[in-house]
Parts: sequence; C-alpha cells; structure tokens
Amino acid sequence: MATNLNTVARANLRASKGKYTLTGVGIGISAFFIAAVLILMGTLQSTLTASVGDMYSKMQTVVASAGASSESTNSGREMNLTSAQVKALENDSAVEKIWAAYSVQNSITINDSKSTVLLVQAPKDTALSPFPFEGKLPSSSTELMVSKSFATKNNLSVGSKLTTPNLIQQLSNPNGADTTEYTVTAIFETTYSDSSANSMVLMGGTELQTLAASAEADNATAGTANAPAAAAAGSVQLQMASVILKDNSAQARADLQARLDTKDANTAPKVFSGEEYVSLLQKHLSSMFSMLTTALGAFAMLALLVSSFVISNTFAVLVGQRVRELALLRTLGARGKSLVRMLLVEALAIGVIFSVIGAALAFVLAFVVSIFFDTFVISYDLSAFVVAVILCTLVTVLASLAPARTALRISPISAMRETTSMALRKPHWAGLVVGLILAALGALSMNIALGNRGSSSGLTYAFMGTFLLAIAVFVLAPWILIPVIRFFGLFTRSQTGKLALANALRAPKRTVSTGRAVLVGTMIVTIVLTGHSVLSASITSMMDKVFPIAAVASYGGSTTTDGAAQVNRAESTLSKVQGIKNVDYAVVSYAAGTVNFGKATDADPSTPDTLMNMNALSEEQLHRLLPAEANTSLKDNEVLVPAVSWKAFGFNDSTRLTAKGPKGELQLKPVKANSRMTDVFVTPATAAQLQDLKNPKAVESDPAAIPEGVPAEAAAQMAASAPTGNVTMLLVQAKTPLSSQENAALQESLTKANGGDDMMGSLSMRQVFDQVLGIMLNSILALLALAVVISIIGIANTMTLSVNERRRENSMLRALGLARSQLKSMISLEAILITLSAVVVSVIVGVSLGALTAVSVLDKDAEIVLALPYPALILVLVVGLLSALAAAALPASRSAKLSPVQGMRTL
Amino acid sequence: MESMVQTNIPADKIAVSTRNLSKTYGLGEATVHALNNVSIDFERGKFTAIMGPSGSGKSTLMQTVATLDTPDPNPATSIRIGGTELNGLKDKDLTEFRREHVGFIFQAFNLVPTITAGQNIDLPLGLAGKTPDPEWRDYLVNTLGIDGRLDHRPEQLSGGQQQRVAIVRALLARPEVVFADEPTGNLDSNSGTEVLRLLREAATNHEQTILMVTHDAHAASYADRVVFIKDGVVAGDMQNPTYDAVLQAMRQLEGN
Repeated sequence: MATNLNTVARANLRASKGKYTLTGVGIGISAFFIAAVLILMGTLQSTLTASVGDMYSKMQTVVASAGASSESTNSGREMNLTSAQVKALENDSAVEKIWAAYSVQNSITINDSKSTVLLVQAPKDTALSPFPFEGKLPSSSTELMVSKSFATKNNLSVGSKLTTPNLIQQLSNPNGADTTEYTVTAIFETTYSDSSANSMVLMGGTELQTLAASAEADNATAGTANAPAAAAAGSVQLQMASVILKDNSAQARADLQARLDTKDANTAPKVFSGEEYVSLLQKHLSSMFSMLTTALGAFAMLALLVSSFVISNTFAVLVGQRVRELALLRTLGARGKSLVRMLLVEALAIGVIFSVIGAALAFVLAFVVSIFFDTFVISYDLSAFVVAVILCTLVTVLASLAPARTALRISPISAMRETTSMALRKPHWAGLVVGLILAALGALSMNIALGNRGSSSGLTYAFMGTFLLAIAVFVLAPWILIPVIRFFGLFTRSQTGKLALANALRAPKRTVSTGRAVLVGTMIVTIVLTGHSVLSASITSMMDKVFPIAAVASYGGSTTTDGAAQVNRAESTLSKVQGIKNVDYAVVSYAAGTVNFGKATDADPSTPDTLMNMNALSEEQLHRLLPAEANTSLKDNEVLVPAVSWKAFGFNDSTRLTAKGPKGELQLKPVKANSRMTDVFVTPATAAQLQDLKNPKAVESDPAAIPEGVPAEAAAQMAASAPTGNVTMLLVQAKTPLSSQENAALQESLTKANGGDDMMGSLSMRQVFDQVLGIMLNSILALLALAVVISIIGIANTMTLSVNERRRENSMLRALGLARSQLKSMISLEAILITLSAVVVSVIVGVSLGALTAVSVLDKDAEIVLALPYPALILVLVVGLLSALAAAALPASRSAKLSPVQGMRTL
Repeated sequence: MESMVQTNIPADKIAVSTRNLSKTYGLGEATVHALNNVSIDFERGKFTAIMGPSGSGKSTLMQTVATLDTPDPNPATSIRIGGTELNGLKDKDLTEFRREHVGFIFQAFNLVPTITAGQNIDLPLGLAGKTPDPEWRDYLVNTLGIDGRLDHRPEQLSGGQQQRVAIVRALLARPEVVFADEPTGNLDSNSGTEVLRLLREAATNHEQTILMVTHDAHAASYADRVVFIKDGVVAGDMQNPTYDAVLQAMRQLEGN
C-alpha cells in the first residue's frame, strides 16, 4: 500500500495516544452526557406511558371526549362524554360492545387504613375488561374488582369480603356514609408493575352512570350557581369509553366519529384505536416534559461548547508542536491543504473513538440503573447513541478546524529552522476584530435586556448577551490576558520568577491556550454563582416588602365555639415564640369583630359588600411590629386599612366604615397603611367596644350585605363564608437579614411552637423561594461540575504540552546551572502567573455578567441587592490555582529529572 | 587561487540554473543581502559542493534554488530545474514539482518521526500517488545497508542510519537534483565518510545530480566542483577539488 498522508495520520494517532487521551476524555464526557440525557428523556417517556397507558394499549377502539382527545392538556374543551353520546354509542349499529368507564376519586377504608382509589364503573362484558383477571366481573354495586397489588396489600383474594363506608354515599356525604359489605369478585393484573391502574377499583352496577346523568341534568337547569349539587356528585367523569366495533378498521372508526360529530370542536368526541390513544397520551406527557427536555438539552449544549473550546485549544498546541514535522512534509511534497485534511482526519478519528466510548458508557449506566430500579422502563434507543456520537464528532472536527488551518501557513523553510516559529507568532488580528464585534453585539443585547427587565424577553436577551460576551472574552483572550500577566509579573522579584514571566510572554499563543482553558471553567462557575446570589438577595429583600410580617398564625374562625380556648392557644404560643432565636418581636393581636369596606369602585352592583376581619394593635405595638409604619398614627375609632384597599374601594378622609361585633357597632375612620400589609387593625380600646378580647364570639352574618337577586341557596353559602371577626392572631417579626438556613430554622421552630401548624408570612414564602432556587442551583451544579472537570482537563493538557515542548530549552537552562528545584519552581510560577491572571479576568467578567443577568430577571421596581458570593469566588481562585499547579507538577518533575544531555538530544 | 575558473557548461548538460537571484532579509539599517544577484549553472550528473563561511548565503542559495524559500521579486530572476522554470510558480505547483523532481537530505530531522523507515522512503512518491520501482528500491536499500531496518522508526536508528534512510528516499524517485544541506554535520567521521562515499557513487554510477552545502573541506573534496560563496555573491569556482586546495581557498576567503 502506498505511503501517503493517511499513513502519517494513522501513525501519528498511534504515537500520540497519550497526548490525545486527555482531550478525548473531554469529548467522551460530553458524549456520555448527551447520550445520558437522551436516554433519560426516553426512559421518562416510556415509563410514564407504561404507567398510564398500559390500560389503553389493549383496547380495540377508544371514544374520547373533546377535552381528553385534544393534543394540549389545557384546551378548555368539554372533558366528559354526555349520557346522550353514550346512548348513541349503545344504539349505534357499528358498535358491538361498549364500556362507559365512569370514574371518580374515592377512598376505601379497610381496618382503619384509608387508601385513595379511583372508583370505576365495571364493564359488563369480559371482552371489555381492561386487564386480564381471575374471577367474575362484578355485576352489582356491592361487588368489586381490584388490582393484584391492592389485593396483596390488603390481604384479599377472589371471594373475600371487605367492609368500608359506602362508596357511593361517601361522594356526597364524606363522613356520614353507612358501612357496607362488599365482595371482591375478581382480581386483575396490570402489565406494568408500577401502573397507575393499580389504584383502580371497579364496581358493578350503574350507580356512577346514574350520578353522572343527574349531575348533567342539574347543571343544565340551574346554571353554574349550583356548585353544591355538582360537588355532591363527586365530579364523576367519563373521559373515554372503550368500544368494540364489529369492523375493526380505521374506516369504521372514522365513520363512527362522523356520526358522533357535534360540529363544535369544544364538544365533539374523537374515535381512536387503542394504540393511537396511547400515542396521544404520550404527546400529553411529552408536552409536560418539554421544559425539562429544554433545560437538559441546554445543559448538554453547554457541555459541548466547553468541550469544543478545550479541543480547539489542545489542537492548537499540538499543531504548534508538530511544525517541524509538518514543514518536512511540505518539503517532501505535501500540499498545505492536504496537511489540513490530514489533521482533520486525526481529529475525526479522535472524535469518533472517544464519543463512541462515552455514549456507550451511558448505556452501561442505564443498564446498571435498570437493575436497581426496576420500575423504570429504560429506553435503549439507538438514536441516543447515534446522535451523541455524530454531534460530538462534528464538534471535535469543527473545533479543530481553525488550528488545523494554521498548517496552511507553514512554509517548507520552517523545516530548516530549529525553533517552533508558530508558537512565537503574534495572534492574528482577525481574532481581535471578531472579538470586538462579538463584544459589541453582546453589550447591545445586555442593554436591551436591562431595558426589558422582568419580562421573558428580557431574560432571553440577557442569556444571549452573556453568551456573546463570554465568547468575546474567550476570543479576545490574547489581548486581555497578556497585559494582565505583565501586570502580575511586576510583582516577581526572583530570578526564576523573571524567567517564568519571560517564558509566559515569549510564547503568547501557548500562554493564551492555557489561560483560555482556565477562563472557560471559571467564567461559567462565576456567572452562575453570582447570578444566583444576586437574584436570591434581591428577591429576598423584595419579599420582605411584600410580606412585611415574618410569620402569622390565626386561631379561631367561623366554626369556633370556644373563643377563650383559641385565645389561650395564641397566648401560650406567644410565650414559646418569644424565646426563639432570631425572633425580633412577637405580639398577640386579639380579634376585634368585622368591618364593612363596601364595594370596590369597579365592582358589579350584584356583588356583596366586602367584609374584613379586624384585629387589635396599639399604636406602639404597630410601630414595633412594622418599622415601615413608624410614621402611621392609629387612634381610637380609627381603622388601619391596606393601601391597596384604600385605592380599590375609593376611601377618602370623609369615609366612615361600619364595624360590627357581638358587643356592638361603631363608625370608624379609615387610615391608610404605608407598607404592604394586608390585615386590618384597630386600637385595643376600640376593639374592646366590639368584641370580648379574651373570649371572642363570631359576628353574625348580615343578610343585608348580600345583594338582591341572588338565589337563596347561593346567598346562604355566601353568608356562611363571610368573615366572623373572631380570629385571634399571633404576629411575629424576625430579625433581618437572615440567611436561607437561619430562615428555614426559624420557620421550623415557629411551627413547632405552634403545635405543628405552619405559620404564614415572609418566612414561609422565603423558604419556598429558597427551596425552588436551591433546586435550580443544584441541578445547574451538576453542569458546573462538568464544566470544571472539562476545564481542568484543558489546563492539564496545555500545561503538559507546553512543558514538553520546551524540553530542550529547559535542559539547556539546567546545563547552564539552573537547579532542579529552580526549574520546577520556574514552571510552577509560570502556571500560577497564567492561572491567576485568567481567574482574575474571569471573576471580573463573570461577576458582571451574572449580576446583569440576575438584574434583568427582576421587575423594574424591584430593589437590586448586589450580594456577591465572596466565599465561592475565593474558592474558585483557590481551585483554579491548585489545578494549574497540579497540572504542571507532573511534567515539571519529569522535565527536571532529565539530565541536560538527554533533554537536548534531538529526535 | 588554483583552479578558480568560472565554469562554462554546455546548455544541454545543465541540470539546475539560476539567473539574477537575490534574497534580502530585514529592513532599513538591519537589511541583510543574503544573496546578491547570483547567476550560476550546475551540470547534470555532477556532484557540486557549495562552500562558504558562516553567513555567506550558501544555505540561502540552496533553499531558494530548491524552492523552499522565495527570492526577491524580480522579473529578471530565473530558477530552472531540468528545464522547468520555477520562479513565479504557485505554491501548489512547486509542491507537486518537488515530489518527483527534487530530493532532500538535511543535516538533522530528516525523517517523519511517527512512521517507519520504509514508509519514510516511500513517502514523496506516495504523495504523488505513485509506487516506487521495486528493483531500484531494493538496490538502493541493499546498497545503503538498511534492508534490516525498514520496519524501525527513526528514534530506533542511529544518526548514520537515519541519514542513509534519507539518502534512499532522496534517490528513489531519480530526481533531477538532490539537495543536501550539511548532510554530515551531525555524524561521526566514519558515518560521515560513508554518506559522502554513497553520494559520490550516486553521481558517478547513476548520473545523479547532487548539490551539497557544506563548510567542511573534507566533505567538499568528494565533489566534482566547488562553488565558493561569500557575502551573497559567488566568490570562486574550483574543479576537481582536493582537500588542501579547498582548505587554502577557504582561508583566503575568510581572510579577505
């Protein structure tokens, strides 16, 4: 076989195994991640489909309601089939058998243990049973068919009897149903062990059908005001009917659908085959997953991006090292373009090999997971493998394109020269131009983002801006890093330090390669951490404004009979709370009757007056509790109202509001609150005139507050849900600022002091927010770790290559009298100089970008708290320096071990 | 100086020739005239040495003639190898020309380190898409005594063996001219003498034109002709050089 450049490429791959391994690991990791993400998505899909869909896959034909058959889950269409439609199906000549699967959420209590079940009306025909079963289908409303897992859990078998509150009566009367004995006539087995169908309980008879029909009738006559009736039916649903057609064909199904058509998309049912319906369910599931898919996809892309930088870097260094060999090939007659192709072939080989390994490992991991978690239906989709390999290989080749093309600039004459001239060449001005353009675009994008703060477009522009600016910094690295290195170099005093600085500056390309590897990882970490920190702090401060009171507990209400007991609870909780760490102030605010705000200025006249509960607080207590109200005065016969209410109800200085209590009635003058508090307060003296503070009683509902024309039943309901003015409150103010842990700890202590009931307020909101943000951050941390790992690989790579490249030169220095330790420290110092400069640049850029992105998420009026994650930033610096030192240590010591003669020997 | 004649070669016997060849480096005060309007012919089948003190321009002369470097642009400049005008050709064409028409032997770093000796030998022809003449190849390999080494990589060969591999590679395509740049510079005297002997044989027995740059009088004594370069111009021309004559000529050159 002829010897040509392919031979050289192959030989080079074999010879440079070690050099390429580190780069390859980066590629492998990316491929692994992509394949794992794809497998995960597929697995989630199939697992959920199996869990939900195994029942439908066996059905011949499914007639689904308009709502159940729409492709989106929130279509606003009619969710149930009507009795008329069911009748039409029963009478249809093409239909052989039908099972209308009426269902309702219910519960079964066996031996005092209550389980939630889905009560379903059983089919009448064995052929329509959703699953294979043993026994006989239930035929009466005291016969049941349960799943095998339910039966095992409750020790049931075919023929067992169980007693539980009557399943039908329970629907309208949850606590008053008669105990009934049921017989288990059949036990069915699902195909998928974790199927949601396991909680189905099928009941014979047609009770559910009857209930649904009467609910339909009631709805038709009384209109929407009849909520109680519908609730009594327990919202029996009929989203689909399983049908067996005489002719099992697509045409027959289409014809049936045409016959059922109501000409209205909101009510027209659709007819599917079993498999088609399962596909529809899959679509519902995948739309639920779309956000998760997008997020994971974005992560995978980011990993790929980081890898591509590392690959590009490494290739640049490797090509630089091979200049003499490439020049020799040019001399012997290889064209520049052919050399580029040869290098790309090498890149292709590396890309394919390592991405295959990485993607394969993802499948291995999936297999291992499936052994431990057998409820997951692992999707061994080959497309995950193919996509991962193709994507990563493509990125590898593209990333090596620019470095490979530098081979075009190698002239044959370089073969004659000793030095690797490529490393000395100054960075190309094209990079400067591209970098500046990217920076300009990025700045523009950020500007737009800040102008659109708080909107989703603002966030998108912020992401784009961050992305562009980060890449711009990467491209502009030569022009940014070198001056910074020079600056830090001013602080070196020792001889080795000066040598280290000179080395770093003498080979700008190599230095920049190392610096870039550091930049990549550090910038990503800094951006994310800063963004999180700023966002967290700003929203926390915003929350303190929106929820001015840290925690509130309420005692009493419309069903309370013993007011004094409630007050006792409040007071005893107060004494417990006062001893808790980080509690600034706590006070019991006694119930003070109700006040009538009237109607909102834009309200319909048919709406009732708005009644509000009132509580007692003296002016000093108010000022102590809410510093924002320090200038608000509250005197007797005044009522403190929320600022939004003042506006919404059109209060002014001459307004007088009627306040009521068991003890009497008063006219009060409203006072506008400063903060965003939502409670209504009067002074204790005023309160005492309306309510017995230590034993509050409910204020009787005022039928006059309800406008005329409202039907009696609805009016009674409205009256029943009106405020009763006998709610005693415990108000707690916390010290600020609190960290997330302090917040959570305080919340927990308060709950404990309150007998296990959570208190609401800024603490609980903050806790929810911290949890959400924490979850988001943790999920990103995995990606951060990935970026850091790839980045460290990049650093190790370039440091190793750069030290090896200067083997002869280092040996010469040894010959001249540089001690081994001095050589090692020279190399370490160079690594430190480069890394320190890169980290400083990254931190400055990263902090700015992270802060700007966080700001663009916040509302226009939100206050921005620029809390920087200082401990994390210091950690970043330390980790960066340590990795560079570690990466340089091995090649440095190997270099130092060579005798000067060995090192200077040419190959 | 003895035998310092400007050699006149009949046109049909010229293998390599240049006219008005100049090469300058640097600007302004730092300008170096490495070659100053050099015009010279080299005869086919002859072993010619190019000698001069360091900085004389001898390497530059060889590099520009071998198309490894471009001379100063000048419409009057001409570089011809085997009848083909090379000045002004595009890099692509020069590169392709080199594969079969020019052979190279360098002082060091002759071989591609990652492939075997055998693969190194076949590489230039392989780049041209051709396979070598197996008989000629065997003959060269045996004559140069590297038949047992073909599967070894350069790092496993001694300096002398590497040079011999380079010589086989250079001779294999029977090029118009073989350029040798200080081929014995890195070798011990035995290996060096061996290399010179082989080059001498190639010229004598196989009519291979060889141009060798050297500063070593001993090496030059193997040549048919020595051209002396000093300060970028041809300073002398000697036929049938002997060691002593060359030595004396060099002393005179350096003394002036």
